[in-house]
Amino acid sequence: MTSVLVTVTRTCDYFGMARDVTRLTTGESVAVWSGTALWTGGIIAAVVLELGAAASPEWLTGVVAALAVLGLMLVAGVVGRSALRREGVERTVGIEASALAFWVTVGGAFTYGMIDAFADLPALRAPWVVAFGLLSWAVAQATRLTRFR
Amino acid sequence: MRNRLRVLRAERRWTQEALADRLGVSRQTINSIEIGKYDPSLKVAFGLAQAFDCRIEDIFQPTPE
Repeated sequence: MTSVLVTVTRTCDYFGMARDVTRLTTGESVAVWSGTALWTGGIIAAVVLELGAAASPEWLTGVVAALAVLGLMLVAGVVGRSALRREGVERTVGIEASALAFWVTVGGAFTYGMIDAFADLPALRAPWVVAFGLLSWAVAQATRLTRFR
Repeated sequence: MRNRLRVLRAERRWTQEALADRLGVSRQTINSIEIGKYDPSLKVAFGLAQAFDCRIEDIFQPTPE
C-alpha cells in the first residue's frame, strides 16, 4: 500500500507544485499522504461535529480543527523542504515569490484591519484572505520569473 | 559576474538541455547563467566545473569594478 502511495505521489502533480519539487523520499511521500488525510479528515470531522451533534463540546471541534491545521502544516513543510532541495532559478523564484506573497498578504490584511477599526467595513473573511494570498503568490511568481527570461 | 559557459558549452557541442540534465537543473537555469541574469549557487558552480573538467574560476570571473 505504501509503495503504491509513493508511486502515485512521485508521478502525479501534487496540487500543480511538483514542477518545483524534487523527488520525494519514501518517508516524505508517507508524510504527505498522512498530512493530506489528517487535513481533509479533520475538516470533515469538524464540520460533522458542528452540524450533526449539538451535544458535542466546542473544545472537541477546536481540537479536530487544530489537527487538520497540523496535517496541512506537515504537507507544507515536507513539500517546502523538497522544493528547497532543488537548485537553480526555480529555487530563487520560489523563495522570493513566497516571501513577497506572504508579506503582501499580511500587509493587506493588517491595513484592512487598521481601516476597519475606524470605518464600518464588511468583515474580512478567511476565503478572501486565502484568495488574495494565492493571487499575490501567482503574480509574484510570474513577475520574478520574467526577471530571468 | 562574467562567465564563459556559452563558449565552453559550444566547444563541446552540448545543448543547454543536455547540460541542464547533467547538472539536475532546468534549461532556464543554464540560459539565465549564460546571459548573466542568474548567479548560480556553489553547488551548481562546482557541478559546472566538474562537467567541463576545469576550475570554477575558469568559468566565472568577477566583473571589474
